[in-house]
Amino acid sequence: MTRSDFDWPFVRQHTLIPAITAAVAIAACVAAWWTHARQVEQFSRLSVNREAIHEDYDALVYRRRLVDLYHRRYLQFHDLGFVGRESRLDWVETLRTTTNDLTLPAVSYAIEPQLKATAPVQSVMSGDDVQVYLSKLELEMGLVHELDLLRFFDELQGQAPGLISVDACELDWQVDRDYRLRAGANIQASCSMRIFSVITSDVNLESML
Amino acid sequence: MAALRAFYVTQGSMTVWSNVRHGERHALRFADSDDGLVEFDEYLSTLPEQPGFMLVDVIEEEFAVDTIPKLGGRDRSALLTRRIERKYPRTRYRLPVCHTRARKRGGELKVTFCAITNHELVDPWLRVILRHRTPLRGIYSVPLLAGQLMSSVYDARNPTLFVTQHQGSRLRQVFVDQGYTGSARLSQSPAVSDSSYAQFVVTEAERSRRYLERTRQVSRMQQLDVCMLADAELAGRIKEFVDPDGTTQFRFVDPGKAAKRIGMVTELRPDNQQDLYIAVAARRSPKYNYAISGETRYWNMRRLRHAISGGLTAVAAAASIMAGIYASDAMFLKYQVSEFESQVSQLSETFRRENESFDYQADSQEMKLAVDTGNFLLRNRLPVPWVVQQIGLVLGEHPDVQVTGLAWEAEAAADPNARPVRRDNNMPVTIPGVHQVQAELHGELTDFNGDLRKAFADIDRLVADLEARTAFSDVIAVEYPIDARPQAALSGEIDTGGKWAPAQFRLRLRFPVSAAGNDGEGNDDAV
Repeated sequence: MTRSDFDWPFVRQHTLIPAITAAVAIAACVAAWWTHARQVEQFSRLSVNREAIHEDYDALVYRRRLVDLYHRRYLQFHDLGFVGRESRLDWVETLRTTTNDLTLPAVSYAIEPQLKATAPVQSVMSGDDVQVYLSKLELEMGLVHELDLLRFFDELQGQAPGLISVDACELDWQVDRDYRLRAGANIQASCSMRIFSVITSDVNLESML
Repeated sequence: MAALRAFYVTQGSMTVWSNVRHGERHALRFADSDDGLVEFDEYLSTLPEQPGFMLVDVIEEEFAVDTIPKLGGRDRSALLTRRIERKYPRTRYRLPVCHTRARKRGGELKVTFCAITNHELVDPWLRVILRHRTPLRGIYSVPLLAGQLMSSVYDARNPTLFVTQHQGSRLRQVFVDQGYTGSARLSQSPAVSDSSYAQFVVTEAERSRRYLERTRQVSRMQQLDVCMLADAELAGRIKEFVDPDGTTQFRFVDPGKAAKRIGMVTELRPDNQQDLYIAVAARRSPKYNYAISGETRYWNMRRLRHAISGGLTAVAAAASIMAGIYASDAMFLKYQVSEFESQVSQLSETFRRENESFDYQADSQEMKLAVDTGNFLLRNRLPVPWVVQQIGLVLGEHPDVQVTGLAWEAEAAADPNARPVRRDNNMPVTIPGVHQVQAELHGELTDFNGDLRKAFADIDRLVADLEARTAFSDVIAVEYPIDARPQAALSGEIDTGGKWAPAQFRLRLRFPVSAAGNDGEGNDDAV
């Protein structure tokens, strides 16, 4: 069959309907594919949003759980003065009033400059979010009785702001060394202490207000 | 399967069966004249699209058996073309049939050159067919179909003359050797029912044999089988004229069985056995086709059209299926999207509400860190009353012991990572936990009367009591009233009338915190 023998009109006969059907089907396929692609895109976007909101919500639940767990104790530490800025005035005032209340013969103190400390516990917080501070305090006291020492520290912990830790103490009974005694003191005590404080965003906000 | 039309061309007419696949008996006969052609033209104009094939059953078809040397495909094709053009130059209905399946003879190949020598028998009909663009599958000839037909109805062992009765009064004889047509004759015959028919058949067979011997297709001594479709009555009549010891032997095949084997659905008439050839040609495309000059172009174009239609339909079906899949998936996704939107909106609202009700400024993690730090400090601090109480517990039962000095210190565990830092360095200091509590007690025995042995015993008893009744696990006397060790230098003054000075001693006490466990867990009450 030569090229001139080829009869296009004959070949084209009865192919119109299949051609139209195929064209319509292809158009429908393209339209369905396009719709599908759009739905997939929307679905992916919403999935990401949903995941993010889920994560936020989980974080909120976890946060609330932590708050439920720690809030009461946090408030206690706050009331104690451990959470908050160290107040030297309060300290000096407390030392003075305690000395007076217990009628101690003599008390001298030396507080070193406050030092920044590394939190001794693991946390997801970075060091800049919560600051832990400590101040070293040296106390020299003349005591009438050794119980005065216990009362003194009880008063200090109760009245002075912050959490204190007595690291070392030395008591010296002065019964037979009157010449070294100050007036009325039987025991000479010297103690090393540390005053701890923690500053959170609450404290920063309070100071801003 | 589409209805297939058969155009049966004979010497003086053409007969058309419009649906041979379903064994239609009704046929239209057109005479080979101008009127016949006009009628055929009118007939085709009513139904031009129906495909068909042409079966030629004419006298003027020649066969010439020849041999050619064995050559490669292209050379052989060129040689065959050249030979057949030389043999039959005046017709285009010609073809060479190579006996490729036949037994080989040395380095030569046997070829039958076939041709419808009078093309005027076919051309007028073909012109009408092509003018109406009727798809024509091929132009086949009865003798060339004989091998295929005979192999279906008869198991030939020898060269065979296949004899059939056509159109009532024509006897068709085709010589078939090893499946290939070698010669054919069509002769005018009396009717099958005529009494001279049997004698005529035997005579014609002998005549054909002589021709075959002359053309050296059969040797004089070689047996020639004559296969004939005949019922028992006709076979009996013919056998009367056959020499049972001759080299030509008649074999009879029952026409009904033959028709059944071919797959004919209609009964085979004894004087119209050309129906068998038509049925064979309709069932499957015969191998040998005279249409080699574009006569079948509309058939090919029809096939192309069918392929295009089929392809388009397949594309449409595939696209529809894909569209259905995409659409259903899109619907499902849309449903999920709406579900997600609802969930996201609910979650957002809940999150917003919960967050609004959350009125703490300090972050929960800040609280945790502050509380954990506070608890750690509480766990690791040394309560002053504890030390005093611990020692006071024992000293109350030792009234002769006067404490002159007491010192204690909470010792931290050595930090392996700690590095010495300068005081003015702004690096944060670490807060280690308490490792042990070390205490030192200075005392004297007030009622000492010079009895050093008793003083030593009193001090040892005090040590034992402290170790047993307090939390201090390691209590040792580091200093007695005198250093009684042999390796130490010892000096003193003994005054029998004098007053004894108090016997002084020094104790060292240790409380290992790690051994005792951190039972001082900070709790609310501890705060």
